[in-house]
Amino acid sequence: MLKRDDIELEHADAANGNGATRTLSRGERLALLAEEDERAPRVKVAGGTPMIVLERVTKVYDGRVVGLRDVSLRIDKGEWVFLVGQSGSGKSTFIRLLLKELDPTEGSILIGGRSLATLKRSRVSQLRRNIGCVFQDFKLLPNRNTYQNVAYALEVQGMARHEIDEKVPEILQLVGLADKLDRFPHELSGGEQQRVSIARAFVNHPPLLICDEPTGNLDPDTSVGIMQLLYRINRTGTTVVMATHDREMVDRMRRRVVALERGRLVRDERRGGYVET
Amino acid sequence: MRRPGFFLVEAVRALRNNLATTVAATVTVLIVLYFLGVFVLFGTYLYAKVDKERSGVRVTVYLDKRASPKQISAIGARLRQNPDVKPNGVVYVSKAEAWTQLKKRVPKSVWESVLTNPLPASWEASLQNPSRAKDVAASVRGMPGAERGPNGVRYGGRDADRLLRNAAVVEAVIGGLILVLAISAVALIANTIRLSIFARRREVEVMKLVGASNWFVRLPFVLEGMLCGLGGAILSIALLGISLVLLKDHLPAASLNEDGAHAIAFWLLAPLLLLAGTLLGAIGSGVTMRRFLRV
Repeated sequence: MLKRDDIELEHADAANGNGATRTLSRGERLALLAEEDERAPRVKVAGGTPMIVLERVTKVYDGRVVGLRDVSLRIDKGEWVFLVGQSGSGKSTFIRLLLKELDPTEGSILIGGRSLATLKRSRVSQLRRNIGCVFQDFKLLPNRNTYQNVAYALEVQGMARHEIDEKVPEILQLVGLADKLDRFPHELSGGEQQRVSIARAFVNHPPLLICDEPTGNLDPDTSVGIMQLLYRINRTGTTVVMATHDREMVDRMRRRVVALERGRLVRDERRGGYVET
Repeated sequence: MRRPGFFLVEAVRALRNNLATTVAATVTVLIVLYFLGVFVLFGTYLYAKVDKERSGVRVTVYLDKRASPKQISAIGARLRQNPDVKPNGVVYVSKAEAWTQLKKRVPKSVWESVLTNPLPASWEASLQNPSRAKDVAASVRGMPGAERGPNGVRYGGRDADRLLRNAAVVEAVIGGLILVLAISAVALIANTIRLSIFARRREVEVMKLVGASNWFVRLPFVLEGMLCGLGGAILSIALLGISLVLLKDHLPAASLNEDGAHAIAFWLLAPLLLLAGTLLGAIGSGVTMRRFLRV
């Protein structure tokens, strides 16, 4: 594993808004971020129905390959959960099940108290409007500029133009891209593209944000800025589930960690690290 | 939907962004509809021609020189009573009239030297249904006063039967060709649009992940297909129009024909092609979309 602590920050990501000094290492910046997050005011989310409930969920592909095996899990509203595990451990299956891209072979999934099993195909789009998604490869629409990419998430709901024109600049301001509205994805850096995708995911203010290795394609420094953004979103009361391979990030943040191994849930710690402590 | 214009904007954006596919689809529609137009023009012309020939099928009963007036009127009455004969469709052509008619049809050199009128008088019956000509002929054949022999009663010229048979064949062939062309048009367009959608399947996947419903994703694509179809149709109509003007003097189908058989009027063909193009585009893309929406 690369010792990223040793990497000096030569180019602080101008857009990340982190006032940290240039000489801090990435690890220190992450630690600062964690500390800041501890102290920062959070929107308290009332208990009640959990955000996500998995009950003995098994997913088998083609009757042979096991994606998930007998996983039970409960994630409360407003929580932050790191989902860790090697490639092939079932992280992607987990995420695709939550989005109802796939249906479980056995077991049940409830999101916001609603069973996905009884959700009609035609209502899946409604479900997805209430779940923000951030992916490793950003998944932006290539032929649309920043503004249009974010606006699309509102257009699919049939939102009126004047409302869209109000919300989009606001969220792009929040992610620090107010000056790049008319850039196309290929004209943006990786960090900037990920900010666009976060803006798109969050513009609806969904109660749940799912991130599939959001920093996987970004350099270590840029990823700090992205994490800061995601933390801020979490503090507004949004539940965040984040699959990641970033050992340092998980270790520094000391949040709930759910570890998968060959489809099984092998660890669920309140304030865990990347590997068992 | 609050903003129907949105989908049109989306469709036009996609058309612009995928210019190569747009051009390919439009040209496909253009070619297919051009040939369809040509086929329809010729087909309707041939159909009209055959129809014209058909309605011209008559039964002619030549009368014996020695036939008495009573016998003659009996034959006429028999024809008139026949339900397959048009009401008021039975005409008596006297010896003199037949000669005058022949003189009109045939060049002077042929009849100049003929001193006496060799033609017999006759009854001519127009038929309701040309395919019954044989039966009508049989009903009067051999009646007293009618000329004996196989040529005593004729129907519709020598080739009536063959003509009628050919008419059915021509209709079937033209209809079949148009059908095959339409099917291949749909297949071609579906294929072109499939390529376009395949190139954009990632885009579709993203749209669905952001919460776009199926019809929200599909509508711009279908509109896109319709616009391609419409564009191709307009171009093909223009091309057909130009072809017709250029070939007017050489093509019987292009001009009003002296025998009264017309092809379908161009002003009627044009909206038909527009409709066909738009439909082809819509069906082509609509059908193809279905496979890519299961995300």
